[in-house]
Amino acid sequence: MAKKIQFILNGNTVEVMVGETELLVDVLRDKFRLTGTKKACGTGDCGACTVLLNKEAVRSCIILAPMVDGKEVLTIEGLGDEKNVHPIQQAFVDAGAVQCGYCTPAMILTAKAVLDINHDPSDEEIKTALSGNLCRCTGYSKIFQAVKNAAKAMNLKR
Amino acid sequence: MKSGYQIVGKRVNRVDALAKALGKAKFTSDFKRQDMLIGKALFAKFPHAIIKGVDTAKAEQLEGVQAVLTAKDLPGRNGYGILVPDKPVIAEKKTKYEGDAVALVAAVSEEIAKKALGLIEVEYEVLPAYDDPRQAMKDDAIHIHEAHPAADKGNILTTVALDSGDVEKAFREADIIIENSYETPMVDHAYMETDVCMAEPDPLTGGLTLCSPQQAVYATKRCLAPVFGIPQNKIRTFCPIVGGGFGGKEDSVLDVSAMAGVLALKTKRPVYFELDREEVFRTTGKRHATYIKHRMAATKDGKITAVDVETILDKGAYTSMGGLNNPLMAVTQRTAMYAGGTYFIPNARARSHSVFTNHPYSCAFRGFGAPQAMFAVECQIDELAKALNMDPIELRLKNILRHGDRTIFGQVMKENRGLGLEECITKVKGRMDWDKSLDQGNGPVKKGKGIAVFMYGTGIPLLFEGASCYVNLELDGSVSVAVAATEMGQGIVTALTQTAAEALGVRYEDVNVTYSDTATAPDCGPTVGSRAAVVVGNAVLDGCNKLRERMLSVASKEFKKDPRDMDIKQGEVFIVGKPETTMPLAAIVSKAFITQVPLAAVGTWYPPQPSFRAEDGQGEPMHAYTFGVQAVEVEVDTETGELSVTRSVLACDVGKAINPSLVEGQMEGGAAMGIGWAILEEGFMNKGVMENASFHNFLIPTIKDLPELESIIVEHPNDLGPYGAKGIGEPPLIATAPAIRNAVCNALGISINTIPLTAVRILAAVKNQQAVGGGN
Amino acid sequence: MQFFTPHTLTNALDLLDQHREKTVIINGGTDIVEQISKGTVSPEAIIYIQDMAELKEMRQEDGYTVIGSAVTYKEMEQSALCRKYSALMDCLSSLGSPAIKNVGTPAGNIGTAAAAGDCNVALIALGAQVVLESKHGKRTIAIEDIFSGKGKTKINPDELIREIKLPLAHANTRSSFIKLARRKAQDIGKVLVAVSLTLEGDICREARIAAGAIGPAPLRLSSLEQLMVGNDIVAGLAKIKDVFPQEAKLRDSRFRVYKEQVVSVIVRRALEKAVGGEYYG
Repeated sequence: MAKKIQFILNGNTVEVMVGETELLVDVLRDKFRLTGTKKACGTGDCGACTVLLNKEAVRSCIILAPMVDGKEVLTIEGLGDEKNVHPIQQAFVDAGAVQCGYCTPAMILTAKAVLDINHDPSDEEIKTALSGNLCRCTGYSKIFQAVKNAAKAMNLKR
Repeated sequence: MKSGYQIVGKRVNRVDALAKALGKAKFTSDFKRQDMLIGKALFAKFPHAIIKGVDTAKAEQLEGVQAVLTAKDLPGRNGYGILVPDKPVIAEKKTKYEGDAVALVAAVSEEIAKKALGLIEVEYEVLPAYDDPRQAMKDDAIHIHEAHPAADKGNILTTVALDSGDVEKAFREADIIIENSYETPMVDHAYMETDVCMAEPDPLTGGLTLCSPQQAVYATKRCLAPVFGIPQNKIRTFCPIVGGGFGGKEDSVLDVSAMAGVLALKTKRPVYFELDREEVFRTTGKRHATYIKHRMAATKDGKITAVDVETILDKGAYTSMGGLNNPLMAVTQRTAMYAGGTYFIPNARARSHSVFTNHPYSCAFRGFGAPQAMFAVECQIDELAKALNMDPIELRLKNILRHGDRTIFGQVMKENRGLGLEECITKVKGRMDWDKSLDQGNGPVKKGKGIAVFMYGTGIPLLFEGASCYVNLELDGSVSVAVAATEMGQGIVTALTQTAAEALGVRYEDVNVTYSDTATAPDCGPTVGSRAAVVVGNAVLDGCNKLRERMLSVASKEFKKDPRDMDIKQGEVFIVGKPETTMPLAAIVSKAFITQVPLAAVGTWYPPQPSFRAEDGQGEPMHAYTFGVQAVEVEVDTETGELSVTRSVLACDVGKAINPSLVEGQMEGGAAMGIGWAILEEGFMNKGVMENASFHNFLIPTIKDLPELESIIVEHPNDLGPYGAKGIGEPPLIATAPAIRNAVCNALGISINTIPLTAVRILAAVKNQQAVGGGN
Repeated sequence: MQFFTPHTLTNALDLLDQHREKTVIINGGTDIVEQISKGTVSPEAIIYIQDMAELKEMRQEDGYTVIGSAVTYKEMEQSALCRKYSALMDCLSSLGSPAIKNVGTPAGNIGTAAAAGDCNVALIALGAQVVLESKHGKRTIAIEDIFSGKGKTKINPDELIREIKLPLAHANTRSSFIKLARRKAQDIGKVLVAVSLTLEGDICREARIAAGAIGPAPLRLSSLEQLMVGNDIVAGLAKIKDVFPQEAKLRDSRFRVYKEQVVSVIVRRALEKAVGGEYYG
């Protein structure tokens, strides 16, 4: 069985047939070829599949595709590209916050969700925001620094 | 020291960072195609059992199933392994751990493949499963391998011996003897990218292409050629960027590639085979758990005179990188080799036994046995300091290896290979305000500080150690470097780009280093052993130097100058001292092209031949050693046992930081992983069954579990390393666990010798102390 | 298999009445989606309620703070109505990552009867009542009475959690919540304790003490409450110190002994935390 859903994906309205119990992460990766969203645990524990749903960070591996019907989804591919690098993406590059890169898109989107509403987050607020995203490479130090730098860069643009 | 380097030593951004930050960099699973069959394995229901029968009839009849394989359906040898082929692709007679496949399925969708697995019926006769190698090594234990091709005796795979000096005499004459037992846990690498392989038959050659995240493309095809019954030259192994490896993907790649490969050969179709996270936990390699008895003899003024160490390693079900007899002693050898730590100890005896259990096979994991060995010895040093009422740093400084000192494995330390340990200690001591005591307050939370030091050899101590690569000058002056080294997050592609750019005198942007592929690059050895930036880096340097000489020779004819008076920088060739005389390198390359000067070179490098005598463990296994120190501050809640690491300072002598930002990345990541191993991570094994096979309950540190990770880079150059470099991939986690353990002891006045230092263990120790009436 | 996104409560209750046991209600989905994707739960119908306006309300009414069942943890955390309950705010701050709080709901937590459900414990201490509604009517049940065993509730197959009602905090009521976990973020609690004390001067007039992860379901620890009620705080604390609650039912696990050792510590700390600012300054 299948169900037709419609949602805004990275700014564009899309329609797609999905299984009732198909996961959002699988739809994004397999049907839309948006492979920047990673599936690393499938149990909602690691955060690598984070996307923004109506501007809030959510885990696409514990969301059924029909749950996003009529909503707005942003994946890493919708955030920036080579010609228009988002300040958070640039901050991650410049701070050396990227190692293997598997957690990176989700970290960046998680950071965006917090920085969009909190323009001057405290250290603790940044850590709380990122506390559900696991990274095995960096020890988080440079990720933390990147998010701090990004907050400043975004404020300069505002 | 002013280097004068253009690119080496600079914090340039990683070549792959932007693509990764944009979400466009492709990992293996991102190449999945719709036309691929989905492969799945039916893993053992019981970790130790006799397989009485496997009935696949119902699964075969399911619509959409393209192949169901059992052990009798394989194209070649039903066994593989890096050191010895003792792991079956599909278990035939017995299961030895939860990760043994009993049958494989390929189907047109994941849903059908999973359904098919459910239709396979297996009859088992369950055997008792071994969790503890100390039980498994007893004479009356059931032999986990009925006939192992290499095991010493029963479940004991191998015993490595190390002897130097006169240990008996040293202990007889000792003023003080410190004797304790230590235990370290089996843990998962917990790389973020799960294991996956895409296998595709090549009808043109009759061969097979395997695409997987891994750490050694050449080792993979060598190990698996007999499994597929295909010669090595017809197997192409290709490795896109990797989502973390930490040693684990040297071995786990063989599991997924073997299974994907046999399914692809059977169906003659491309097969996509991915392990989910739970399968990664249950089936792939782990860090060896160890049980260590450590005796240390010393004089009353604090000179260590002898160590006597017995280490029992939980091998798990298969050999993997655990170690065999000479020369492939691997992890087992390292536990003996590092049993004396970073100290000058004239008399030593070490015995390391690697013992089969029904656990996941233990394999390479960042540090390769050194973290376990150093944990014991660094705890022992603190116990000795306590017994002698000496400061732990003072005691260490009294005993550390210095120029001309011989290690317990017989290697003489040389300053020209970089011996920066004392500088590391001094710097960390200063940064930590070591001599200032901590304010304890009146509450239940106690504070403590601890320190530990380490050394770790660069490269692998095997006869073949060395690397090759191709370097090619393009007509536009850009440079292509083809290496088979794995980019798994550490930044090797960036480091090699910097190395090549510096050597050839071109801009960083003008060098392109390939990702790992046997079709395009020669063997450079595995990306393990903290070796790539040094050993492969030297090969790249060699290739670049060859081309540089050729180009300078061409240029000298153009400029009518001796090549020795010419230089290349930023892609411009010029006469030294006359920068106005420049000519673009591209022009020189074009000149070379039309004058029959080859633009391609093979770069190679081999360190001095490694040695390690099997009889007594003596030799010179690695050409250079990385040194370092970690100090931490902790807070321990004596009512709940909760532990917080509140400060961490790590100093490493890396010889030369090719890119300080990458080096810090390794140091911070290593310290974080070390903290996880020390306080949080452990596989909960119950009769061979992993009870915490998910990120729900196999916990690795979050950002909230870590303090700011402070790093200090110290540079004592290695005269054989590229620009002086030594390895830094693995070393940073080695001192973490003992530093934390020593800090906890400092806080509580209680010695806890088993990690991880969970709240459960700490509170049990506190309660135990209260029960026996010690402490307050 | 059908997936329904009803827009009205009436519609949702009709669907529920039709499909009953074969239905799974998805709210935030943070627990249940994993089980569906693993195949351990395979419903015939899914009713997704998170976007239903009627269930999104938060209001103050008749001496209660009323929280609709589709209200997320994040929405609660930002609500002035919820901020009055210290235990609730403590609980929300340690509950999980933002991505979980953005979609997770206390009602969902009640529905799955998670023994270590952070919010369940806080809600018991705060005296929460759960309003259940079906096509055939409404009923209200005290939250501690809703759990009937490991992962089980007394919610009937045709019932939906309509809302959660918290009695308005008395001016002299102090509450707190403490979670003891293995990891400092995003972890399931090993011992969770919430307390709510109503004081008259130094005397404790009412006490509600709740705990999680020490039995098959979240528990109210009446035996400990009795030690506090009628006593002054210091005397009550002295009585309760080191008492292991008789309601606890620890199962055999790696953490059993540890839990035995720490439950009373966490209870004492939660009590001290609740009254601390006032009494020990």
